[in-house]
Amino acid sequence: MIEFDLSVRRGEFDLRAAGQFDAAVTGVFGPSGAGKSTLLHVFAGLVRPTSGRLTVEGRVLIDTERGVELPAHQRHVGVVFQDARLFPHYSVKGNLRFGRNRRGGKGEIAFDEVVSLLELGPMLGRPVRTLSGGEGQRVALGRALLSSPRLLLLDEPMAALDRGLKQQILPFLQRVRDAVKIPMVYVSHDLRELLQLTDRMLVLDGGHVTGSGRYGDLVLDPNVWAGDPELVNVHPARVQAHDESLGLTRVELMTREGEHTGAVLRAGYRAGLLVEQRVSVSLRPEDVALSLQPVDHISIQNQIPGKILRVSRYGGQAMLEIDVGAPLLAQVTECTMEAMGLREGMDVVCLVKSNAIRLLNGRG
Amino acid sequence: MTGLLTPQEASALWLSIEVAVWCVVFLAVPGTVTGWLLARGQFRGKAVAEVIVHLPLVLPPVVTGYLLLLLLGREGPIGGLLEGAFGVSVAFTWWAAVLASAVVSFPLMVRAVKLSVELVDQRLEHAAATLGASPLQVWLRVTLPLSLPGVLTGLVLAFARSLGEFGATITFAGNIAGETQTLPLALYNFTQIPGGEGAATRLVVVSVLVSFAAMLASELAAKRLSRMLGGKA
Repeated sequence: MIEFDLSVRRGEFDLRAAGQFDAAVTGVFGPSGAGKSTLLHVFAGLVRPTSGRLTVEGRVLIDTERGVELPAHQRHVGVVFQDARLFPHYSVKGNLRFGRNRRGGKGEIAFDEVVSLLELGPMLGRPVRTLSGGEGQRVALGRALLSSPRLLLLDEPMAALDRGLKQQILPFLQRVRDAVKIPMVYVSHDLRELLQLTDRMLVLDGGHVTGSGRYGDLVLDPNVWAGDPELVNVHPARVQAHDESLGLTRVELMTREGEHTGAVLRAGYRAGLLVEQRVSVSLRPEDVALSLQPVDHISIQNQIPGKILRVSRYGGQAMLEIDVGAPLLAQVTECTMEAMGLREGMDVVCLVKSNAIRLLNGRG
Repeated sequence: MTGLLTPQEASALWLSIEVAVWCVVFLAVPGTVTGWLLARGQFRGKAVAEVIVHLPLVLPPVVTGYLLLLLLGREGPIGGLLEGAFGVSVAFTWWAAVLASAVVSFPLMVRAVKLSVELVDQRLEHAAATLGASPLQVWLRVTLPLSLPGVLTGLVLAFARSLGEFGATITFAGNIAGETQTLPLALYNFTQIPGGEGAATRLVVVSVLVSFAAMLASELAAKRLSRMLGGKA
C-alpha cells in the first residue's frame, strides 16, 4: 500500500495530489503537463515536495511535518525512465548488476530469474550503445528489478518507442506484473497501453487529481477526463480459434483476474497468434452500435446480447456500460438515446464490425 | 639522447620532466575534486572560488611566482611557519619549481575536469541514486568514470604547462642548474650567453619532441578511453 498527500511547486507549476495505491499496478494517467512525471519524481526522491507525506508499505519516505525526507538512494524505490538511462561505461551485465549491492533489499530477485523473465541472456555481454530502444528498456527494467525495490515506478517507459515496439515490450511488463510481487506505478498518457497492464488508476490534470479508482467507474464520470482523451475498451482475452481463409480470429473476453466471461468476439484475422494465447482486445466505444434485437442480413459479424448497466451523458453524447459478460463501453449520440429510448436495465444487442476490433499481443 | 646533449642540457631535460610528473601527481586529486565541485557543487561564494582558482591563468606568471615568494619565502606567513616548525625552506628549491608549476597548471586542470563533468548527464546520476548508490558511490561509479577524458586532458594540459613554465619558476624557485633550472630556464640562459645558440637549438628540438610525445600519448589514451566509456571512437 502506497499512501501519499503531497504538494509540489516547480516554478509556475503547482501539483497537489493525494491518494492510496493498493493494486499490483496502479496507472497514473493524464495529458502531458498534468504533473504525472513530477509526482513520480517526488516518489523517487528526485524532486523535493514543498510539503506532504509518503509511505510505502508503512515505511515513511516523506513526512515534511516531522522533517523526514529520505534521499533517493535510501528509499528502495526503483525507476524505469522514459529514456532508459543505461550507464554507457558498463556492459548490459554491468548495468544489471549496478544496484545489486544495495543492502536491506526485501524480496530479493535472483539475477538469473530476471535474465530469463526479460530474455536478456543473449545481450549480457554487449555494450549498451549497441542495444535497440526496446532492448534498452528491457535492460533498464531488469536493472531496476535487481536493485530490490519495494516500489517500482515506470515513467512512460515506452513513450520513446514506436507502436510496434510497444507491443513487443508490453508482454514483458505483464510478465513482471504477474511474476514479481513488487507494487508498480505506471505513468502513461496512452490509455490503451495503460489498460493492458491495469484498470486501476489515478487521473491527473493541471496538477490536480480528477479521479481515482477503477477505469470502468472513472470512464462514466465526465469530470474526470480533461483534454478529451481517446477512451477505449481494453480487455484481456484468450484466442479461441483462428481461421486465415475466413479472415477471422475468435477470442473470448476474460476478466482481469483471468476468469472466463463467455463473451466471444470475432476479430479480423491477425497473423502470429496461437490458439489459447492471451491477448488484449481493444475496441473504441464509438465503434459499438446498438440494436434492440438481432439483425439479419448484415455484414456485421458480432452481435452480442447484453444489458445496459449504467449510462453517463456529456455534451450530447452518452457513454453506456453494457454487461455482455464483461463490461463493454458503447458511445452513442443523445439523438440515438432518445430515438431508441435507451435506458439503464434494458436488454440490447451490441453490433461490432470484426475489423473494428484490434488484437494486441499479450503475455506469451 | 643523452649523448647528444651536454650534461647541463640533459639535467635540464630530466629536471623538467621530473617536475612536470610531480606536478601532475600533486594535481590529480585536488584538480579533479575542485573541477567537480565547481561543476556540481552548490555553495556560497562559488563565484569567488571560481575566480580565485582561475587567477593564475590570467595573472602574469611572474606575479604568481612573486606572490608564492611572499607567502612561502622565509619572511612570508606560511614560509616563516614552516621554517620555524620544521626548519624547512621551500623557496629556491626543487620543491618550489614543482609548486610553481602546480599553481599555474591548476586552473587548466580544473577547467578541463569541470567542462567534462558538466557534460556528464545528470540524469544518469539520478538513475544511479534510485538504484541505491550513495552520493559518493554515484561519484565513483558514474561521474568520475564518465568524466575521465576530461581528467586525462587536464593532466596532459598540466604536464605541458609545467614543461613550459618559466615566469613563476624563475621568480619563486630561481634558476639553479641541477636544482631548479628546467628546460625553458636553461634555454633562456643559453640565449643570453655568446655562443649558446647551438645548445639553445638542441633544447628547442628536445622541447618540441617531448611536447609532441606527450600530446600524442594523450590522444591515443583519449581514443581508448572513449571506446571503453561506450562512445563510438
